[in-house]
Amino acid sequence: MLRVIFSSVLVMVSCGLAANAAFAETPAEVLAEIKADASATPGFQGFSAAHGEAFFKAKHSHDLSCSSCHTDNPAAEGKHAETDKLIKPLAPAANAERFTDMKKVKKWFKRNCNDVLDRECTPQEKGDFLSYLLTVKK
Amino acid sequence: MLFDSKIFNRMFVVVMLLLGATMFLSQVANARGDDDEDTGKRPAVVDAKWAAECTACHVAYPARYLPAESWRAIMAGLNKHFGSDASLDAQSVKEITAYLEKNASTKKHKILKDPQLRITETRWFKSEHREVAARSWKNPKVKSPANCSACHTKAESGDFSERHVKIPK
Repeated sequence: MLRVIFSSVLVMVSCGLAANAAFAETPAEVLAEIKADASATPGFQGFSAAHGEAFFKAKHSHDLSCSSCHTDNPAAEGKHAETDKLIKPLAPAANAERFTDMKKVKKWFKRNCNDVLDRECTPQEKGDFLSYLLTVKK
Repeated sequence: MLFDSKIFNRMFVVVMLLLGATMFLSQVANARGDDDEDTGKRPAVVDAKWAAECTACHVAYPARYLPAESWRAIMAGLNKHFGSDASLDAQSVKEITAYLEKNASTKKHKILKDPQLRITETRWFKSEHREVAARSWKNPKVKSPANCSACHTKAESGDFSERHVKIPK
């Protein structure tokens, strides 16, 4: 009897885990989705982590850069420039939750690009950016 | 082998039960956290989506501090949210607006053509904070009157009661 209960609990828990896993993506998969977008642009020649790093640190509109909130080190904790709210590290090496949900990735690219660049980012910029973050070590 | 897996299974069940109990207790604690004097002890109703989305950038400003028409105006202009793009998908906007409307302030107030969007500009806020010295507002640790948690040490959990206020020096 006990064994039946234990095994049914195990089955339920593993079903739950499987359901969760079905939603999660890996940063590599997210990058592949961005790449599929970027490939549609004529002359696309792949992503560059070096360009991504320059983009991350460069001041854009309103004297803002990505590092204004995320600091110069994407593996470090940041702080919202306006509200001081803590921002968890952006680099997947330092925060496993990052870039595992395409919906969330799209939401934040839209918001932050509009705030920092006054426009949406191009697939090339997004791909360079994520390629750079993936090279950042903890 | 059989023995091992039995122990493992048992441990698993114990861990799951403990997890459940912790979640239950933290909910009870949250429910008790709201003892705000200003609105006649309404229980804190918390919506998971509201909490997750709004606290991504700032303290979860309680719905009860603005009337429904203010929240509707705020939610209709998320792409220009106090100088930031805070846009959300249509479904989330709908759900969060419904939650805010339902829990908004019901105090009598003038219906303005342009609803008040900042809690800090309401008469109620100004009157509640009239004893706060000018130098405290200027303290860089406070930074802005919208930065509730600078002084309200339990603001994150929706508790703004006076006994948890600590004004930074």
